[in-house]
Amino acid sequence: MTWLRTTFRVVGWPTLLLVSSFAFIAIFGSVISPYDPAAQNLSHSMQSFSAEHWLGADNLGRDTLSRLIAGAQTTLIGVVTVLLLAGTIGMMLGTLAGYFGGWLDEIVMRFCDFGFSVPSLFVALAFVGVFGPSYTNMILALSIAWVPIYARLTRGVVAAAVSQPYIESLRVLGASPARIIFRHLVPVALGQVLVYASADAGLLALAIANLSFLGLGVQPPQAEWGQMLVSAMPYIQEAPRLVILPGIALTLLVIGFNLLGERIALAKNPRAMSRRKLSLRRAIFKKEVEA
Amino acid sequence: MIRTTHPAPPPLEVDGFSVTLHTPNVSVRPVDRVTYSVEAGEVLAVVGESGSGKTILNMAPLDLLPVGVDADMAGSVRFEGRDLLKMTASELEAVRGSGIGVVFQDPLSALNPVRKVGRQLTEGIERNLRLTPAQSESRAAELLALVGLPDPKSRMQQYPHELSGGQRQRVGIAMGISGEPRLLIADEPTTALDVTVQAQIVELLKDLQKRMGMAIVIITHDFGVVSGLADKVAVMYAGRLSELGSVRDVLVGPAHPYTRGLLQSVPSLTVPMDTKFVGLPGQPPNLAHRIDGCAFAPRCAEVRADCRGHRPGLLSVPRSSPGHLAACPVVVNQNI
Amino acid sequence: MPEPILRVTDLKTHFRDSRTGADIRACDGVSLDLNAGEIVGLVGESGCGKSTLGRTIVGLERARSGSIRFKGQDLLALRGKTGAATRREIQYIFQDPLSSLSPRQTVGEALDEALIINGEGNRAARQARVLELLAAVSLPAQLVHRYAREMSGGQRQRVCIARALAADPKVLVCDEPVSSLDVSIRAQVMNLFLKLRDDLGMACLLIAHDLAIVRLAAQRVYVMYLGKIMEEGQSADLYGQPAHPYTQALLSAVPLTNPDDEQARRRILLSGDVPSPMNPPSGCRFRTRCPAARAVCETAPPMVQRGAGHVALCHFAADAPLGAL
Repeated sequence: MTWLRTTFRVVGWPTLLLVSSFAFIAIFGSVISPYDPAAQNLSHSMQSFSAEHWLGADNLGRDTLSRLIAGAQTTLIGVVTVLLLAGTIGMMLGTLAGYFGGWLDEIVMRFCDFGFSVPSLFVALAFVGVFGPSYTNMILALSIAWVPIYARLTRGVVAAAVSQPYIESLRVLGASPARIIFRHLVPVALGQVLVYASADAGLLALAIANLSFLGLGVQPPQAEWGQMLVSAMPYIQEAPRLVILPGIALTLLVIGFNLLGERIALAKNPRAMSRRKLSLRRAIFKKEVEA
Repeated sequence: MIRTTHPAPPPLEVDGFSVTLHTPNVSVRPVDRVTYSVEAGEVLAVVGESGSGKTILNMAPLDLLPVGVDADMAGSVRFEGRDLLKMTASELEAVRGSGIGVVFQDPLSALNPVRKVGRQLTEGIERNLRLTPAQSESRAAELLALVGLPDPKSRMQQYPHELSGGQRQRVGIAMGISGEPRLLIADEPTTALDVTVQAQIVELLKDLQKRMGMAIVIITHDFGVVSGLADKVAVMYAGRLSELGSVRDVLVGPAHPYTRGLLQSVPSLTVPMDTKFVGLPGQPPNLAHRIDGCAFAPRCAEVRADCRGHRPGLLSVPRSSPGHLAACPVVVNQNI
Repeated sequence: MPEPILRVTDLKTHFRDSRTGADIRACDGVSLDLNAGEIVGLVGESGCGKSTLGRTIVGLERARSGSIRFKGQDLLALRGKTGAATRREIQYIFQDPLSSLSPRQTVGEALDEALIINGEGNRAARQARVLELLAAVSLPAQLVHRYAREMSGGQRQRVCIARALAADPKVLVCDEPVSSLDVSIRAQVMNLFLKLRDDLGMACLLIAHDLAIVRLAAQRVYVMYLGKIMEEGQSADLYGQPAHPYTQALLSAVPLTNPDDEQARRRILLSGDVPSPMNPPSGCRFRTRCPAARAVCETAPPMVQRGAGHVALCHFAADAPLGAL
């Protein structure tokens, strides 16, 4: 179980707890959810915190806790799908561009430049504008907007690795491009992409909430935090919890992903030792030498 | 106190100096109780292979170790009688500016890539010699002419990447001597250069030493550089001093088996052409482990049972000059 | 005399400078022969194009013109699967063994992969061959589970040689194979090349800047400057009676370890650095740094025959040597 211990040491328990509890909620959400998130019960409309509805109910009498849980599912499924799609396509493009160079590299990089010069939210807006707002279209739109990030990241890593003697040795040995790409370059790029993606997930969660808030993403009655925020806006005076609770959920998720990304990045570039650790090392060395 | 009867303290006295480096996973002792001194106007070569601790030995007292490395230092390193290890950071900076000059192995890493050569040179001169900008500019041009760069005025307008490796090292040396130091520490100044350029740099250092009368410590793995430049040689192995003596004593009549093996490993242009390459078996010890006895014992052809018992001290080599010391009782006792 | 196993004729490899668009003539009309069972030295300062020549031979750089004949076939014209199989018989050893080994592979995995690429499908046969390869480079079998970072420099370089041997090569191109290694362990690697030559009849092109090392290993030596061969000859001739002023200067710059010899020698100090290969001097390329240069050197120098196989590209190569050692 060394990998578990390493993960624990690198990420630290607060971050791990935060991220894994969101993951747990997303996976087992339908089991732990007390109510059907879409089930309306107008007799419970605008109910506050109670034994029946722990976090209250909204204007249509839907259970807020259940809707928050469903919103976590919606957000995380969206985040993971976008990262998988954008990561895969971006890595494919970036690897090809970095390995073969030349005109292929030119085309991919110009595409990336275009993607970077237009804010990703605009790309998503345009896509949704053409194909109509829906959960699926939002995921596709965000994937397209996120591809250039991963293409450029991968291209940089691969282009640097290609000129390394160990890749050149493989070329001299007569290895096929497929072998060099899939066995040697992709694993190198994957490490970098995963590190980046862990920090990027928070940004994506915000983007999903943004689009849904603007009515371009998740459509009612499907539960989503940004969408919950919008529908609660008319009741902000009467029941501020309806706005505050999804806001807290979103904030926690973003903080969790950002911490995760930061901790992983830090593990790759260690800082100087803490004073406690240093004195510990000194003591160990003293014991070893004077034993 | 009668000060006048005492001669001036030598530029560098290293006494029982040890360095222990700590990283999160491991602690190593790359320098282990080293003692030597450098007299005024003398050139000492510290020779050793990678991992022998020769660079850390010279850079740690000046606080020039890479960022993030925690070093414990023991013993003393005295520059003109003042212990460098007891100085505050600002005192040390003052010494580095004017008393001790440093030349690095890779001149590119010592130069800022986005600033013009002249600007980098004058900046140090202004700070260390307290000259006006105009004075320091003309001083910088003088220095560049001194290190043999043709057309110094136009060189000063160039960026480091526009210079060749040899030219960059000349700029590095100019920076090293810009504070008119009494001691110059040069860390592998010729390693990155071609033999033809290396010969030029060795000539330059020799010439500067004569003209400025400074003492030089040159850190190198190349005996070829040592023979043309040094007066005295200190051979390092596994963080310890294994042999110390004048350049002729050590290079012509080496006593320590490691020095002998190392010298034999350098092919010369005079051995018969069909000879095989000679080297040392095995590899240097891991400094993260405690080394009992002689560190060279596992690779030594002369090894005896008691070599592994306790660490040999530096002993005077019989039938050689008085200052010739070797840390090998086996060889020393054989020769008596 | 049989045909050489590798014959390079008038090879040109040029790069385009990305800033100015000018041609960098790294390798500018080089001819070179390599016989089976022979180690041939290729010496010169950094930037003279010796690495580019080696990389072009193994296909890591694209040649502009000329030919590379290996076992009678022109490598530059070979295509497809048979081309790859032929090319594989020329292997390359890099200067830095650490970066030539994947940080993610153990020694066993790296050698195994080389054997798979070479078409060995049987797993058990590969496992046995891995141990043979390690033994061939005098490394203990327990090293198979080590990563490159866990080994010493000498061990790493021997692993690189073992991996090259997995392709059953006839020619090894070795680019500064020991210059990144400590002095005391260089012999382990150099003697291995001698053994491969003597036991397997391997032909080696030894690219190096250290003339003393090349002298002990190579039967013949080529001296390269600014993309051209300046002198070639048997080692005994070239080191004994160097004909080209550049060779003489290189030899006189080799540091001697004995301080008495060092002080007694006459040194030909070359001024300045190698000129840019984008704009090499007209006539003799060495004339801007040559201590013996005269007006005639502005015209292209002739190939002067000094003895059997001893040739120098210099107007004065027929005269007595300038500074005999």
